[in-house]
Amino acid sequence: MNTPKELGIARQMPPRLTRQMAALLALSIALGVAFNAVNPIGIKYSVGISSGTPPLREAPAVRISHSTNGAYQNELLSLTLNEGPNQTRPGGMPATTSLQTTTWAETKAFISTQAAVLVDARPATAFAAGHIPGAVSLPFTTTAADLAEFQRRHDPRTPLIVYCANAACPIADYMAKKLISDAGYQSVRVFTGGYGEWQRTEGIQTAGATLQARMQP
Amino acid sequence: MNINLEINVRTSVRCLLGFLFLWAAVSKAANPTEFLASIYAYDLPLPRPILQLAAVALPWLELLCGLLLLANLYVESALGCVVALLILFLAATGQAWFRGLDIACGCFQFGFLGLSPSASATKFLESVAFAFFRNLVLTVAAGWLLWERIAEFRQPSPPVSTQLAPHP
Repeated sequence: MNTPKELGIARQMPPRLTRQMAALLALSIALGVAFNAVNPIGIKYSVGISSGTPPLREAPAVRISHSTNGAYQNELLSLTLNEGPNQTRPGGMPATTSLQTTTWAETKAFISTQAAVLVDARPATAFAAGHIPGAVSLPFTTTAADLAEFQRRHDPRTPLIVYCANAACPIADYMAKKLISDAGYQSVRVFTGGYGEWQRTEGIQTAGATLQARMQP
Repeated sequence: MNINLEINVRTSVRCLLGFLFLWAAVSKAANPTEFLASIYAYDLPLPRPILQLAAVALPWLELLCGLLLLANLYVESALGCVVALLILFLAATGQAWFRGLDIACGCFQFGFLGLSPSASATKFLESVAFAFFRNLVLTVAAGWLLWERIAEFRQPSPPVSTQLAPHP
């Protein structure tokens, strides 16, 4: 009995494999780029670049961690003097892309004195499930309209502290850079520990209090 | 292995891979910035534009491969791409696990499974170890399927009536 091969039914031969795989790859790239171009929630090719502006030279991220009280007192002072760490040049482009980071103690100090606004960059569902009290939700997938609303509520001189889920999460950095480049905020810091660190220090107490409240008759 | 059983196993593996890649492709294409953020979390030593291109093109490659596998068309090429992708993912998750990177940032929920972001099941499903072993299993399965199909060219099996059926 004749097999399909003996009958000459076309089958891909291994040498043609690489050509076909290359074609698949090329097609995927073409489709992906085309789809992304028309996709309203597509990726913008360089973080925070709106069309027409020259590309931002990406400086290496320099993390300045302020761990002493003296340092953050100076921070607080500089904040009230309205001199953010991300100075803008004339033309609105940030001088560097280095981001300052904060610990929970510093963040707590800033927000309790209302010296800064705490921004939660996680998706809205994560925010709804639990967030640091007093934080404003501004997901990294935010639309231009929502960002405009945020800008309307908090003017560009407002110091911001952005957080995400934990130190491994890159979204806070991404959002912070976006707020600097796209929205023109002059003083944006990243609370690297994020929701995870808050939960470890304060959240447990909150959970305990909630549990206790629930157990009351 | 009994020829019918082998064909069934091959069909199942092919369809499973096809479906998995289709599902992965759709969920990645639906959230491109989240996908990009998850790529950044792997902290790969590649320039950002390359990672951005990968974030844009990868879902489509997965989509095409998934569709081809399910449709039983150009299966060898699709499997070749699938194996290459899986090896890539294996390398990425492996280095993340080795370096102790916590890629389970808790941002992406398995909400459709009814899990909260802090549930231990979610943490497990998002953990890098689970990702690594899942990729390992898929790589082995895809590699085996590809090997079986390519091996047929080198040593055509003796004609049997089942050979006339569409090749799984």
